[in-house]
Amino acid sequence: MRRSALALPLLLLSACTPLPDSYPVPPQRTQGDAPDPEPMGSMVSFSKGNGPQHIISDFLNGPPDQLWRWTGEKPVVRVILKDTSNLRMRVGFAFPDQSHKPLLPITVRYYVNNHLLDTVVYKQSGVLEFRKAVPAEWLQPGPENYLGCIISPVYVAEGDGTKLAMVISEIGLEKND
Amino acid sequence: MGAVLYILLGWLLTVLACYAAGALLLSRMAPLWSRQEAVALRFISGAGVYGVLIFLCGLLPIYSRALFVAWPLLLAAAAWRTGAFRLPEESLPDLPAAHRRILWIMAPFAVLYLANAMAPEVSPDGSSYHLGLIAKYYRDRTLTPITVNLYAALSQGMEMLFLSAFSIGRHSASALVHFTYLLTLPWLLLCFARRYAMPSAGVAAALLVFCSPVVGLDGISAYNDVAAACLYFALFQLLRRMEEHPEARGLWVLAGVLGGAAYGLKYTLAPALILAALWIGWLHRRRALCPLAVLSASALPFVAPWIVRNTLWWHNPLAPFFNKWFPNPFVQPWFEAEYRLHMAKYSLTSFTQLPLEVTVHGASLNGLLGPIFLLTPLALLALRTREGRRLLLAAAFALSTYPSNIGTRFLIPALPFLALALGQTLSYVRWLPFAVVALHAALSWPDVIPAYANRWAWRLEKIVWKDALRVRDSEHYLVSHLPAYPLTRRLDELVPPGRRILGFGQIPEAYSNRDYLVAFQSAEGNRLRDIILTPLVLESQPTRRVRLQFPSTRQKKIRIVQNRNDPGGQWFVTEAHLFSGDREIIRSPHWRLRAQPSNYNVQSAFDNSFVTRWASEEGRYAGMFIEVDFGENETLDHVDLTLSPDQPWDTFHVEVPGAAPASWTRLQTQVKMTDLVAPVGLRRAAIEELLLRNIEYLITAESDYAAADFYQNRAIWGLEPLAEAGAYRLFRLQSTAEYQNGGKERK
Repeated sequence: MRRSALALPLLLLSACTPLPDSYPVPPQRTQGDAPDPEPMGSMVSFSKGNGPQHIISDFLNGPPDQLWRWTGEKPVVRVILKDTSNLRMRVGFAFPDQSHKPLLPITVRYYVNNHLLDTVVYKQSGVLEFRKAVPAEWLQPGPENYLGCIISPVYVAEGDGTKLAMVISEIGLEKND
Repeated sequence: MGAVLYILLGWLLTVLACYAAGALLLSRMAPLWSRQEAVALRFISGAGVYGVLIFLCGLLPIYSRALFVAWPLLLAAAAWRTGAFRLPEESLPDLPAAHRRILWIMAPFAVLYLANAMAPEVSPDGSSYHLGLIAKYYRDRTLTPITVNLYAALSQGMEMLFLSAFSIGRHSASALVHFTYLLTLPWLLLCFARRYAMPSAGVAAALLVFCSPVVGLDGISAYNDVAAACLYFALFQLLRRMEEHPEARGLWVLAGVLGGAAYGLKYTLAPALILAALWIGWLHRRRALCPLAVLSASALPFVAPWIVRNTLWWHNPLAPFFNKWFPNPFVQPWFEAEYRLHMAKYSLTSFTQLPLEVTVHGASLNGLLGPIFLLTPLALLALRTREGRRLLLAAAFALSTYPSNIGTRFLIPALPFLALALGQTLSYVRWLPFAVVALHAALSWPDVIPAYANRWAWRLEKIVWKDALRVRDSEHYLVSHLPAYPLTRRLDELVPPGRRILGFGQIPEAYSNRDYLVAFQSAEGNRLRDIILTPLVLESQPTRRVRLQFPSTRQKKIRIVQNRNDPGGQWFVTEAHLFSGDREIIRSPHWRLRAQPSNYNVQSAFDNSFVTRWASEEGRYAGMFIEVDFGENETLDHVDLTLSPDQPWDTFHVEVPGAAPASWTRLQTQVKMTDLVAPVGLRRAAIEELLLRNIEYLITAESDYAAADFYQNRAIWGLEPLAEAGAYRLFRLQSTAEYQNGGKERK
């Protein structure tokens, strides 16, 4: 005990050692050979659990097993494309009756890579779907494809003032068959 | 009921130790204070002394319950034996009867506060780092060097007192120590008012401060802001007294003790010491050298422990701040910059929101002073009086650090001064102070606050006697106030001692005996977060190769230099490979690697891992470099940097040693950029890397970025879910062998 008591102040002082001026090469890592699942695709589907890694902005958090997400007024996702030809944008969404019926009509503008794809005025609430072909020249192979909507008006939750624009279950690009 | 006795014992013994230490200290000085002032001064100055004593004990592995029972008894015995407990003869003039009666408004608040202070500790910072850190010290029986939590680098004078109480009565006893300051603060204000004949202003100020919702809530929690206010005001009181006795050496000493203890309590109180020095300088003018020397020498024992500790353990005397001045591997300058930015703004979109946020709404800035404090600008009318000018000067000093953290509770140290000045202004109309404080008290009562404040305002809710007296099981109270508590409690059962757990946010770690590492609280944590999120964040993945081609050369050293100036962002290098033609120059154990800045992290660019990367950590500036010393001459003609794509505008060149010593010559460098496909296997690689860094468990909250991915793709990560409680999950990181066997082999 006495020895450890003496050792401790020395240990404290030893902590004062200056940082090294240079370092050796560290042990080399071997790259794991386990394949990752396709981290992203062209369709974001919360029901398939691949939503979170696509979200860029304005989606409200939800539990991992939730099949849909509330969005704010400008939700944006990113998708990966291998091929840009013959694609359409599809959005599976809903305006809940209780909150959104009083807001009707609701205008939704759909964007693909900052190009306005369409403006739709919805006069009914409930489960809805949007589909429209996307010009190939608006798209590029790879992960830099952004899909978004601007919704107006939006429901403002009482109390905390959270803006709830629509409930999205799926959003993305798919073959225009 | 046994728990309640321990709580009370822990609290009272700690307070006794503080009071006795203060009595011993003050008994060495000529009594220039009344008996009423002496009571408060003994506790406040003694708390500083006892804090240093506990710090010094922590240099040896002797923290134990016996120690913290023995110290108070020894100090009390010494004070008793030497007659230090005797109170001075002088007594302050009594308050008028009407003023005394109005003070009864405090009674229901005192009951509310006492009950909540005794109830299980549930404050966000108290239950996480304030008590989490001292719980670890107590487990380890010593002041363990903790460099993975930036809050451990702050001065911990208050935590030392918490530790004393915690050893006996656990969390609630610690909170009650702070509650003692909450009781002391209005007492100090009343003493000042009685001495300087301003009873109405004093009573008004005492009530304004004591009933303020944020003061009450802070004061019943294991925080330190109310203690800070007490120290500041006690120091001011001494300085004011010094005007009447400028040659009293005892006042110089005591001012140094309080000023030093203020720094030891909270960094943001450093201006208190400057105020004391300026005050003394102003009083003594050309003869100020001696009193200033006494002041400094008295403050030194209270300031030095923290500076020395931080110099030794954090390589930065002012850690966790000023990391650009004192580069160290524990807190990154970029993080400090972001942290400061956040603390200076919180979620406000405009500073015009500030007055209503801190007085009425109480959500964005964590707490409210009460709507009456919207009258604070009227305090400026006190400038017309001598006392008012002094009070407002002290308030200005106390507010000088507020812009660095605009949380409401950071206004508390200035509040006593402002409240007294406001009280003085209100006193021009005879009944007005009483009407205002009565209204303030009514508006500050927990049942009334929801009528005007934000529903998410940080505030007390009710008197919780059943929880305070442990009539109801503490677990119920803790679960209902701390969402992460259920999982935290299970850590002791699910995680073996000594294993490290990584998480992205604070949990009430004071209720666990395991080592929990919060990602944002240290450089190591930030690096671990970068590693584990790389598989999910495209911007962090190594998908860009930059080839730096130069004429073939034979050199012993080479530097890769970045050319762009940009204080935002960072320069990241995932991997650096060196080539001669098609042949890669194999990394040799004889190589020495250097980088400027962030030298300590340079190995990350040479570890062959796609999930670790070297980061400049303090923005970009032209000339920052990574250097390789081969130890012998090597022929090479290009360097391949594997980079993440979040730095598309950076340009680089290569340098080699010049003819003159220590000079470097720029080589003609051609830069070619190629996009790469992100490597597969990043998720597992990240887990392997965490395991190498002794992280074996992971806690995620539902709100964490990518929390869903950890769960849904747990088989790919190699994460075994161990427990789930509310929005929180605990995973165990599978070892390589387990992972290769599909998670079946568990060591």
